[in-house]
Amino acid sequence: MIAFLVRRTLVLALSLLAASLVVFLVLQVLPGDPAALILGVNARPDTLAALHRELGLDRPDWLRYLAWLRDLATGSLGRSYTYDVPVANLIAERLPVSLPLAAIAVLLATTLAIPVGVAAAARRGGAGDLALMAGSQIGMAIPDFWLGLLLILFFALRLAWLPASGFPGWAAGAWPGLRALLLPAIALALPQAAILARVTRSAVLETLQADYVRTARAKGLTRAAALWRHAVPNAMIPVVTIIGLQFSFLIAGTVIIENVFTLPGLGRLVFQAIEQRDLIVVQDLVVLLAGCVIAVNFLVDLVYAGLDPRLGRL
Amino acid sequence: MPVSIPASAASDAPASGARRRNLVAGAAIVALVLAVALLSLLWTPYPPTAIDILHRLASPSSTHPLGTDPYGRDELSMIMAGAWNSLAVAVIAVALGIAGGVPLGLLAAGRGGWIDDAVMRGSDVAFAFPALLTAVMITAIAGPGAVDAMIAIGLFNVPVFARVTRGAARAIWPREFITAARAVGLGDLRITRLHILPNVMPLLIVQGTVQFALAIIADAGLSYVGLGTQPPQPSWGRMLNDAQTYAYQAPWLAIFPGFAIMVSVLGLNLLGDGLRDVLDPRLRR
Repeated sequence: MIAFLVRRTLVLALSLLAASLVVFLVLQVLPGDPAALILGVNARPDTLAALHRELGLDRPDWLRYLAWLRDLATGSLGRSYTYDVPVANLIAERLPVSLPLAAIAVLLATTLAIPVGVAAAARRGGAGDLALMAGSQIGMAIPDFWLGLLLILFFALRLAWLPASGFPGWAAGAWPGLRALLLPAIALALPQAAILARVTRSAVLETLQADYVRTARAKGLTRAAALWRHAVPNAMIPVVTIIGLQFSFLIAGTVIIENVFTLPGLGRLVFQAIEQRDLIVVQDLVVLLAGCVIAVNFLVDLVYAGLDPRLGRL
Repeated sequence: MPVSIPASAASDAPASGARRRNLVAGAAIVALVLAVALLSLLWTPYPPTAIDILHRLASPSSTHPLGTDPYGRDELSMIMAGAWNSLAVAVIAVALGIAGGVPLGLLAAGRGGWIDDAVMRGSDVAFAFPALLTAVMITAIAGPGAVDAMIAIGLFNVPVFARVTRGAARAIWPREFITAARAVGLGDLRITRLHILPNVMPLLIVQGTVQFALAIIADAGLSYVGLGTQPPQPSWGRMLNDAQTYAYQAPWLAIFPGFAIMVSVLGLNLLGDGLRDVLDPRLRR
């Protein structure tokens, strides 16, 4: 187990390093002169020279990469060119929107999908099962941002139950904040839940056939007990894998959904940064989001090892 | 109490008849979308970019079956032209993924060792960059455009195809007919071309269909946030963005383009499911 942990942590560190290198190469080396990109075509030569010095572009690429890595490691993340504040502050302001949004979405998706998937597997071929299979096909085909738009049309404009856009801030209280995040979270969660429910269903169908489930039934466990105590826990390994794989889609989805509902989260920040050519903010955000995906997949590996001790010993 | 824990092999779908129906329905929907896209090149009810400010935000009627947008452009014509745009981006994105991923996967499976490790770890890192993040980076340095979307989605497809190819190819290498091919003196490259690739192909076709559907959704999302296809070229995602401002006066504008995305993706997913059954009997349980 220790060897497994050490090896996985090493792979995690190397992956994060590789991701940062990719981002640096694309945003700092590929464009040739980042300063010219930030200032645009009409920049005066002396302003350009000043920005060159300010951004440290007179130093070789590899030194700048190391300096950026140091910034990442210390958490200061460099300075935003347009806001003139540390990028870390900008991100810290936006995280209280993006993080709860993503968390609520994952929570909704799993609490909806797993029971539904298990129930469908338990009554395979029944009306509920057929409805789930048809419904999840539709759910997988609906883009989350369009679902967000439809939710706005119906629940915000027609029924006026929930706000259509904006975020009052957590200072206004937990309930107004949650109300603002509810529709976007549903929009993110439903398409993910559709996939997750299907995976849960087929995983449970598979474990239901296992010998240990038959043994459990033979020694007198009720059908429900055999299902929940033996079939479902063993079916969770593929389900956890899919939750991990979906995470990168969730990140992309959150960025887009924040724009649908004009929520002041990381997703809005990244687009403002692109419009203002605030390259360092783009760079930090991309590496942060990619880092999140890598970190989540690392955690999934650990959960995996926890669910199936045999994997940890390999 | 009846024991309804299935005794026979668990099937993913309720019955094989339903699976055949998936294939037929999926193929029909995809053919329809393709036909509409091709038709849009020759004919649309109105020119899709023609502005007619006098008839802006008209509700669906006999002259404009799906109404008009804030500029008076005919919604149906735009959706038809948008179909072509969506399919074009998706085809190129999937082709890029196949061109990059399949050789990598074949190489990893054929050589093994550190090459295999490098490809797999590389694809782990690549997976951390959803198409959106790549599109964000490209747009930051090169400005927005449909090409950004194609490249971004294509790059995300590379590790997907690399992994699928590697997984399938690794299962084929130890088989007897490969040993036989080697015994008659074939080299690794020829074995890969003559024996491995054809056997991996069915899986690639199925995966291609799945990625095609994902590419349509990704492209729509990118155009929605302004990273993909740029106006005046009609695209479904962009139309939804334009519609949002007028969601109260003209809700139909927010419905039809999304419906077009949903139908296309549904068709491709059904087709993928159906093809999986036909092309890859081993996956049929």
